[in-house]
Amino acid sequence: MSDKEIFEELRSIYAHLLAVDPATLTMDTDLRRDLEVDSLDLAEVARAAEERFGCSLDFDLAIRLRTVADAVALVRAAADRDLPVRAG
Amino acid sequence: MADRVQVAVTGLGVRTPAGHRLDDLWETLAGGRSTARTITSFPVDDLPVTFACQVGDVGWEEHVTARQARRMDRTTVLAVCAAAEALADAGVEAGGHLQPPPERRAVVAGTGWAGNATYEQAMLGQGDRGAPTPLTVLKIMHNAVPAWISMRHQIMGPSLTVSTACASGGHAIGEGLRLIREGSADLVVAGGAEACVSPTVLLAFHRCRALSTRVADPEGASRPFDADRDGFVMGEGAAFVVLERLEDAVRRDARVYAVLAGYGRTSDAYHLTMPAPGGGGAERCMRQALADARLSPAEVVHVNAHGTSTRLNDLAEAQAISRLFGPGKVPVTASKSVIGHSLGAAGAIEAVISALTVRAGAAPPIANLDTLDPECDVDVVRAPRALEPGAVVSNSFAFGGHNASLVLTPYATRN
Repeated sequence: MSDKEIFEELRSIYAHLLAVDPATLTMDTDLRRDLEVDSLDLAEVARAAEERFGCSLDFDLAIRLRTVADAVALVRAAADRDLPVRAG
Repeated sequence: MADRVQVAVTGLGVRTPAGHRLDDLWETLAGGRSTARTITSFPVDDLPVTFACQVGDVGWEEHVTARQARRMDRTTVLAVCAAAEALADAGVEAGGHLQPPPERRAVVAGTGWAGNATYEQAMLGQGDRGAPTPLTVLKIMHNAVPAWISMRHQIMGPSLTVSTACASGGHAIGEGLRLIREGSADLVVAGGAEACVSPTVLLAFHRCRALSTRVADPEGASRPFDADRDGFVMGEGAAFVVLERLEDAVRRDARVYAVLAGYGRTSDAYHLTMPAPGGGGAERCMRQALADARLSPAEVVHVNAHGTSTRLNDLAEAQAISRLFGPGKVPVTASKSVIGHSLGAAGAIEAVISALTVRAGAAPPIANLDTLDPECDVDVVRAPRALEPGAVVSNSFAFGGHNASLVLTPYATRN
């Protein structure tokens, strides 16, 4: 799964859980400043991301994320660790 | 006897199956139009009870954001809307500044099932451990309602939940009265909320033989004091009142719906579901409320009965009313005939209806009352009836034997 695919999936999670327009989200979106999220929101996003990507996330890190790019990186690291390497 | 603080009801807000506006609720009650319908919000084909009185669209958009609503169970959403509208109705938020100061405000909420829908969502079909989310605890907890109302309106004095099943709403308003009287707060938002109409809860109440099974005629199912009653109809909703010292209300030229003059609370100490035979606990509760209001039974012009439409409640309550006021002496209505039984919200919704009754000087009728149970020797209101100015008693009696009675009086007669 590419970073772009992770971003697209995360974007739909943010849009759904935080009631924001997905078109306004970029890798640079600052979660707390631009979306006014708090730790509960980030925990909720992390749980949804775990389900979506089938990996387990470090919630202590997840609730301290600053940008969407940070979130993509967190999921990328977890996926690389947890998911079986696909043949080919 | 030393003068005691008089407490005014100056704001009302509701979410009910008969509407979100006080006028709509009142007109539906006055017309005796049942709001019970076959449930369409989930499949009911294989259920023994297939109907309820539901609120439908909550209409929360003007009170909470979508993100806030996601953090609330339906029960809390109903409550937050009703409480906000009660405060707006009281006119204490003029200029965007709620008076009095935050430390002198309080909220008391009643609920029996709190965040039941959230609990079911986390548990049903989710394996041995369920599938809780980071929000599950915060949506389920019984104190979620006063927590949200305190945050929404900067209420920094007492904030409490009272949970006494079907008497929760009545107890919440009574405890709010006490907070004003004892000087713990100058403004109290008090009420109740419930939203637990689900297949599981319908089955649960059915299996303890509490619900009507009149599936072919939902609108005729809730029939308090009727000889053919066969159980209650599940409802949902929320109602909140604003309480303040009468002298404060008069000083700021507020509209006073009624004076909340008395509060009684007793326990049957008898059985989990059955009322004490003869309605002894109910009678003691009404007597206590009248003593608290410093009124005699002869000064009561109307009773808004708990009137669930179960055989045992209505019989026990009728016997208690008949003993206390005399056979057929006081006109009795039962709002659950129209809006069903909203459990922890019922006492609060009926307190609102009682305040409207005091204000209107007229009592709404009992719907579906074709043949009065000959064992219920009470004067049932069959059509809207004008009342003499006087006290109105609102009753709530719960599984567990918890009883609450409120006494409301017209403001004009107190001057």
